[in-house]
Amino acid sequence: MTPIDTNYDGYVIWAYAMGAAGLLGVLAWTVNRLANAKRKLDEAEREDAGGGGGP
Amino acid sequence: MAVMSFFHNPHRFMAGSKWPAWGFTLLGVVLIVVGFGIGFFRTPEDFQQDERARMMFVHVPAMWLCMFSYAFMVGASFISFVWRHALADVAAKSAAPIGAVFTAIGLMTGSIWGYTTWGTWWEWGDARLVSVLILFFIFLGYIAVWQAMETPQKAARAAAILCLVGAVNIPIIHFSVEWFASLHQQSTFMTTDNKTTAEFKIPMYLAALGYLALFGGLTLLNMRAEIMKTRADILLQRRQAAD
Repeated sequence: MTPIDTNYDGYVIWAYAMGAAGLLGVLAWTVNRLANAKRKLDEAEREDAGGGGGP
Repeated sequence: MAVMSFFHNPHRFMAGSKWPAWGFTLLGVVLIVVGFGIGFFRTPEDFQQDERARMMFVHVPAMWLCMFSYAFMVGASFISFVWRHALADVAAKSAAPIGAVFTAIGLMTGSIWGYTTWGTWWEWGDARLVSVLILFFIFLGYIAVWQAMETPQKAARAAAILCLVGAVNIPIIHFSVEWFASLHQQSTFMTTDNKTTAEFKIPMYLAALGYLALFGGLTLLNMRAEIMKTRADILLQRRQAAD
């Protein structure tokens, strides 16, 4: 088995980077999803109000 | 029960959830930054694990919250299954991707910590590691069920059943280090015999509260997105039917 480098700084930094990337990723994904849903709803409501909805 | 019936109306939920959603999200980010900051820069080296102990402030709250997320989904699925509560399905569906990310963070950081401590990135014979991996696949399966079914009603029913069946994995994860021989250490924080000093407890609890607040905030934001999307789809379908 390859001996492990006992300078652990790199591993610790990697763990924090992965944690931060995961948390920021899910935060960005949620905000993007919310913005898309809001845009879609605004468009649908505008069409619904403007179009009259029937013959 | 009163809260459940109050939020049965999505309009009421939308009116009351906007500021709590953003407030919890912001609180979560602040607590995590402070907790990680103290853990990374201020906490002293551990006498046994030296620098490696700093990984606990990322790894342990992620593991707590992945189990909490799943327990939350089980509760919501149960409410959905028994009472057909309109928002319970939305709550469970919204929590799933966040729980999956917490599980992924727990698995990846645990793997790094394991390599530096046990000399291996992964051990298939270890019940704790494998049961958490199974939890991750259950999260993915739950998300896939929502995508795969042809109607939201069928998807909600199937996803709720999967979630309730998968609940059996949660006690297995928790007790795996006691029931089976494991490389993983036994519980340190959630015991009556907690000897951890304040230098470790403070950043740990700050980070854990941050993860919890972030989970609450992001779940509420996702629920809001889901409700907006559903309302937009209904309006579009109504428009198409009228044309």
